[in-house]
Amino acid sequence: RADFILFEVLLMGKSGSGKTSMRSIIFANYIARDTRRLGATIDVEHSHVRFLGNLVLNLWDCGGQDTFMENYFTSQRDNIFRNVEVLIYVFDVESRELEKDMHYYQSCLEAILQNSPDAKVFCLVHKMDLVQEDQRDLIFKEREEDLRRLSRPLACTCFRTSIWDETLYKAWSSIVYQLIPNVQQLETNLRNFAQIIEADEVLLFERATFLVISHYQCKEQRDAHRFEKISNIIKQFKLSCSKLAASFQSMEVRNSNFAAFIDVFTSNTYVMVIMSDPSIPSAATLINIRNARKHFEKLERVDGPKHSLHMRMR
Amino acid sequence: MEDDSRPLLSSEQTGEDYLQRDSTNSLDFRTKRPFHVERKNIINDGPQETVSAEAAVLNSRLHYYSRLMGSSDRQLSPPDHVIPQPDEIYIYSPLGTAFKVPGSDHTSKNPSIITIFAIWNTMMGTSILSMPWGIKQAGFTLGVFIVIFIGLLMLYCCYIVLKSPKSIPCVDTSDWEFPDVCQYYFGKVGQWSSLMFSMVSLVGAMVVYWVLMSNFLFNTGQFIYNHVHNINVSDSELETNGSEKVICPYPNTNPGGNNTISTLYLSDNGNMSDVNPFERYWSKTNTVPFYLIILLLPLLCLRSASFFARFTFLGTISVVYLIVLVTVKAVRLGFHLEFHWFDKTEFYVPEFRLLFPQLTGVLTLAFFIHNCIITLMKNNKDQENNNFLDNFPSSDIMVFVARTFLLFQMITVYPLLGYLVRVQMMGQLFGNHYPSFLHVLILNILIVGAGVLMATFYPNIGSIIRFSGAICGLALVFVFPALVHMITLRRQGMLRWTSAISHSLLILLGVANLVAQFFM
Repeated sequence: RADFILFEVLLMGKSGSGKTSMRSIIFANYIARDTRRLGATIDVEHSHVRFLGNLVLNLWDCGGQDTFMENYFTSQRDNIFRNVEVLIYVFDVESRELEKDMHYYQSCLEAILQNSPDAKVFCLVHKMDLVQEDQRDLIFKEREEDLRRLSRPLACTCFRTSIWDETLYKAWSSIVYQLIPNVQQLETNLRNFAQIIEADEVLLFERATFLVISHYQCKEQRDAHRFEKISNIIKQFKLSCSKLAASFQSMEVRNSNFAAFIDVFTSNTYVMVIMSDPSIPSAATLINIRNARKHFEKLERVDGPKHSLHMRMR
Repeated sequence: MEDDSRPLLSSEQTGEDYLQRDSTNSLDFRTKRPFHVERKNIINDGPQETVSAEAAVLNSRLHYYSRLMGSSDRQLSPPDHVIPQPDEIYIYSPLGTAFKVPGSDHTSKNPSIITIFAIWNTMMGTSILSMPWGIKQAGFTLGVFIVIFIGLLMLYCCYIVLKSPKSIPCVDTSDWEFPDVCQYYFGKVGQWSSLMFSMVSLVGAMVVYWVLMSNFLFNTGQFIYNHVHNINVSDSELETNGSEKVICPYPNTNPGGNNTISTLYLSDNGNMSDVNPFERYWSKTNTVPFYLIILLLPLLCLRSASFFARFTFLGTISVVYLIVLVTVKAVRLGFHLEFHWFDKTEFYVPEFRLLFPQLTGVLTLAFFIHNCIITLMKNNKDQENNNFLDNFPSSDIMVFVARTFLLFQMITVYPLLGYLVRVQMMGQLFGNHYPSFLHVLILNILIVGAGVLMATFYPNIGSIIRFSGAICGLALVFVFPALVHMITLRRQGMLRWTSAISHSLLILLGVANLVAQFFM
């Protein structure tokens, strides 16, 4: 038997702030067609995605109507805000109703304080590409100060994001990084692993989103955007696989200059190993990865902070 | 960046290095490389890449986002400010070379010939069939002048419509249509009235289509029936005797005597018991319009019309065929032009007639949606024959082909028009292009009903065209563009007296055009 306590990651924000697009891009889900409503929403659109083992991303798409938001926070509050691990609140930088946005944000924070006081809070100031380039830092700093002030006593981490540059990817990588249990230990062990097998670079991806949560490289690499590119490529491949009702498990790419291996690692992660010595046969690297897997799985199972309260499904 | 104009794969450095480095590699990199992936050399420090890092990663993002949504979704389409500057964009050809986009304007413009062809393709339509009648209503000489004059006038109005979104400050108007401009200047009134008037033109066109489709279907059926039963068409009272038959008024050589032929003809129609059962079930005004409902009403209720958009090229072919047909007929029948300037004779109309506003009404719709050039036509006194193809007997094979062609083309265009009406009406009224099957069905029944009524009781396409053309032309061609133009100039402080007066005259002209239709 398995006992799960699912913890929630709430993705909240006003309607039209970009949450659904964000979720689709990060989790490679198709955008549900009826999320584009032209009238007022009467009900909440609610969808979930599992990731990181025991976490469920709950996307609450609240309509913009005031009466609705009031009801929502009074009657449904305990339901929604219990067992929350993370609150990600999305602000549209172009919004004309700053007061109202802040008001709703504060209501969410109050509910969190009452029901899940240990939750982490992240604020994403989204659609930054619509702001002129020379004003972006300034505007973001202002918002960040306001949000930090409003969030006390909770500590919130703010990111500025846009789906048209690398900021979205980096923000979500940081968020997921903070959610992985034992992440520092993982990183140390990853470095050791990479040095032992003489790899050029080793990446650790989260399984559902293919966000890079940790990496080790033995020398400078030229392309700073390679993580996002690889994530995009693999997610596209996963989408193609799912059309055939197949699931992606592993991949090997090899030419005369390098060999790259992408494989399942632990229950929450995938690993990518890049070897620039083509004379090392694939089998050797694959054996190394398999042995390392056992070691890393043990790491994951160690009792960490209280939010890893769950038993593995057998 | 280094020398940007050199094709990517003809550079000597890394390409050759690859091949020299590994002679055992049987793959030839240059031929196997996907055309959109930039060069990467992870071992060597090759020359700088010709594509900037931001452009490369944006390319990767766009590829990925395009997999996430359907082809008609625009939610994840890149906005303009996100696309890199033109000097960072490379077009990769599948043959392996890459070249830069030449200038900043070229990315947004089509070559002119394509734009011209696209506009021509859209505008060519069925007003061509009414043009001969319109020219006759105005007289030949006056008709030619009017065609030229109205054409130039509407060209100018089209020009100011095109210019109007560009002079709106502080707002991104890149995807605005003229109704959006009207809404900006005139608020709700502007939005609803421009919607209503464009509905008039669209619904008018759809009604005309229904009449024409009934006509063509009837004639096609008649032709096939006659062919199968080997019946000789007996409208010989009105035909000429030559080898090329045309329906012409018979010269009355005995003006004083009894005109028995016409009365005989009338009484034939009055005697119901002799009517062929085929003619009872296949009548141009009584039954054929209803048969069309079975075919077209389901097509109208389809959710998406993109299937029908593929057939727009048929319109061009039909027009070309009509031109060929007219030329051939004219060559065989010969010119019969006599110039009687102001008075009517038995077979010819004068060159200048007071009925010319009917031509302007037709032209307003013709130039608005359609375009027409064909004018070469003889005379015909009969008011009902305002359809060019009705002037040929139904046994003429070339005309039969023309009718079948046009019938098929119209059947594919009709749902497109219905889709346009539905999108605009439902979008404005309910905010959703397809609120429910019931809504769409009711709208379609109304439109089809209007078409059937007209086809049964008043199938004069010339009149339908001139009324709907004058009504919608008044608003969308004369009044709104002129007002918008004057207001823009006024806000910029550049409105001169001459300009104001000439644009007001334009508005008056539109009103006069509409009023004149009712008096003629």
